[in-house]
Amino acid sequence: MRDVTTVEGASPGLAAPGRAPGVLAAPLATTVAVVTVVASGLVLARYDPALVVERSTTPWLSFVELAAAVVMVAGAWAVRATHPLASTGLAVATAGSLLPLWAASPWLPGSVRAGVLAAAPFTVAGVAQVALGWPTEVPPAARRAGRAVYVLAGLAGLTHLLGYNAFADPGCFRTCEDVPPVLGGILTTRAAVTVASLLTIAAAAVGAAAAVLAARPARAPRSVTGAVVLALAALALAAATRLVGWGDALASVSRFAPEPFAVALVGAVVCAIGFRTVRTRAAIDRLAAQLSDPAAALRQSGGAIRGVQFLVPDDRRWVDAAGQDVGDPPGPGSDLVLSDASGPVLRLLLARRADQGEVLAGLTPATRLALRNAQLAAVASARLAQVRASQRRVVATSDAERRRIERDLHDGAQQRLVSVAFHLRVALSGADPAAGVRLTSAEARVRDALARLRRLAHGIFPSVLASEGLGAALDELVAASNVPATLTVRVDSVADAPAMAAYATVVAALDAVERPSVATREMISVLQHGGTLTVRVEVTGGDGTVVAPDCTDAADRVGALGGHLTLSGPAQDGMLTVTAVIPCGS
Amino acid sequence: MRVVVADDVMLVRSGLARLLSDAGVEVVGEAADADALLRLVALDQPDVAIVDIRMPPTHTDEGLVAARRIRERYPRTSVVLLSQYLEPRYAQRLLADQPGGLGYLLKERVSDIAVLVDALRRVTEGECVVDPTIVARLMQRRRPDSPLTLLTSRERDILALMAEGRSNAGIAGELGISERTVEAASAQLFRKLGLEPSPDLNRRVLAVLTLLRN
Repeated sequence: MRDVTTVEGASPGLAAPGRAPGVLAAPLATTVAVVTVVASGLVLARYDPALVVERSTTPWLSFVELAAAVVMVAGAWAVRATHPLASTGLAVATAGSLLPLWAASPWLPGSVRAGVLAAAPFTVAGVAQVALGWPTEVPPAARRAGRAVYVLAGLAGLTHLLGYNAFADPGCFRTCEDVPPVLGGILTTRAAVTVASLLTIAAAAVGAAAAVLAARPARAPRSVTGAVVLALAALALAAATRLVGWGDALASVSRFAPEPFAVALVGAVVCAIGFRTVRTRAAIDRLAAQLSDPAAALRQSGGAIRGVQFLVPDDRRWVDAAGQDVGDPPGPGSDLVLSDASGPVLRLLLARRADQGEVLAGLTPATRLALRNAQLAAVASARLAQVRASQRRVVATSDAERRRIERDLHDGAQQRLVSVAFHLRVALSGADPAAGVRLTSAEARVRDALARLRRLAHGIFPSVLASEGLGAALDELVAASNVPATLTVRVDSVADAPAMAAYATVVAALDAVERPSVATREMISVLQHGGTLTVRVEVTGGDGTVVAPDCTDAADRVGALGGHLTLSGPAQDGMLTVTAVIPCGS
Repeated sequence: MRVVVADDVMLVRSGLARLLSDAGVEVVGEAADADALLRLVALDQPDVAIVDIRMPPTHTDEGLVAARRIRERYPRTSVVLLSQYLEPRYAQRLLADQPGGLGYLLKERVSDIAVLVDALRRVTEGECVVDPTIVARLMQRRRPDSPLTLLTSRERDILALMAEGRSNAGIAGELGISERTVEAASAQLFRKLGLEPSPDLNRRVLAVLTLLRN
């Protein structure tokens, strides 16, 4: 159930860190906005009715500008992590729309005040980038269009920077100092403004067209595209108005500067989307929490529900969330059984005061889904436990049978063969030489049969394991092998089943040595730590003489106890490691 | 020499008794289980009891338990245990405390009646006799901290033969060396196993005990 939460991290585009411009852009834009707002505040503080009339501004407009600045900056931060390119665009637009306002700050040097006006065209580029850079995978066409917009804006800014002299601008209405630009002799201010404005309009047109058309395969949401196109239209219109009204001082003075508001519009839309993302994510987190721990979710039910139990289908038994069997609820009315088309699925154990109707009404679809999920998990656990138990029974039954066969061989066939050997010996003492030879040969055959039978019986069931314990049985095993081995056994007391599993593991690993060389060594360790038995067998130096062992029986025994067996090798140099971790429940 | 035979399989019991009588050993009684055996020993006070390890009712270690009881109650009666199994643990369990007067043989070996008669004689003399196959198994064990690792291969051979109940002369004959060499090697062997000088027989038993305990 944990992986429900990983969906969050795995969802593409939610986290795209490491885009350097996006990291710095938002803080920089914030700085610009703060400086602008503070400067604006200072202008207001030095309230001069003459100036205000001259600029035809009112204090409320400054407050609106403040609000606009806040919205842009908030937008840039809201999608900084989720849409870094768009965030950068918004930051650029923020700076581009706010920096020109610094021109009205009388305490800045004249050259700076003239220079900051050149930032205005970048507003267009930044706004266009919000739409073009929104998708996680920006289509190549949109990428190219974005670059073109930036080039146009850059050219406009450059032209402005090189050719604009505030003193020569009839639209300049306040403290317009004479700061001759670099290309002042070649390019008149009017020409510079004309070129810059036309380039800005062109940039806006390209940006808007690209936002609608070029970004087709992966486009920004409709609301973002709409806001961007609207803002670009406003910016283009502002540039055109300024161009048309060139020379009309009154028109310039009374002109409303729409740039910050155009950017603020985009910022507001972006903010809304960022807020929606946060809300959606919180809702998904809550759902995930419910899915992974419905019990905790139920506890938040105000104490009406004490717990939940699940029905194992076709089995008529109830289990808890961990798959353990549970008894019947204390009495009628103390539980609420929920069913689906196939019949009862689960029951909620109700507190004494709880009202069934209220609880039913309180079950949201998400809670039902979470409960269903928990039921599947609980039933799977219960079934797995059942399968394990049955596997253990199969192993135990087969062991009991093997033990019986071993005893039968020993107490029946073997004893009789021994007595035959004795009687052959008795017959031999009174026999003539010719019969004696035959009797001696017969006795040798009986002995051979006995030896074979003993090996066979031991292979069927190692009786020493049951009678003397795991350590003794492993001692026997190592002693019977002709490969040098070190054996470390540290166990307290182990039940029959885990002991058999450990023994089978060692037998399987040792069987891998087919033709031992003088360099072949075996290292066997069986260690008990609390409720876990760890068996490790290493075979080394058996160059070309070690085959892959058949661990099926060992793995079955280990698996039946809920442990696991791992086999690595044999490698080129004959190195082989078999490890089994066996729960031994003590 | 007077012996009793205990084995739950009648054919084995009678075969064994017959072989022993033929070899001149007096079989004074036969028992099919541990209780009957203990009654026989109490009644007849034989020199040796020959006991199968697995007997009714559980067919596990009844013989072992009976052997221990006999050695406790009737020190004059020695015990030779017969086992179908190649299980050194049984030998160790039986012999680890007080090996004198005890023997442990694989059942199939005693159809060579000379081996059994020799073992009977040795246990009545207070020695302990362990089946060569089991001794070989014990010698193969590789415990890193065992004093047996200090022994040379010659000393190990001697210890193995000692455990089988061979005399110094027998060991010398088996290994093709002089009896003096066996004595010198034995002294070295006892020293390595940390056994103080004492009557030789006792030290032999103790050396075998070291083998069994490791």
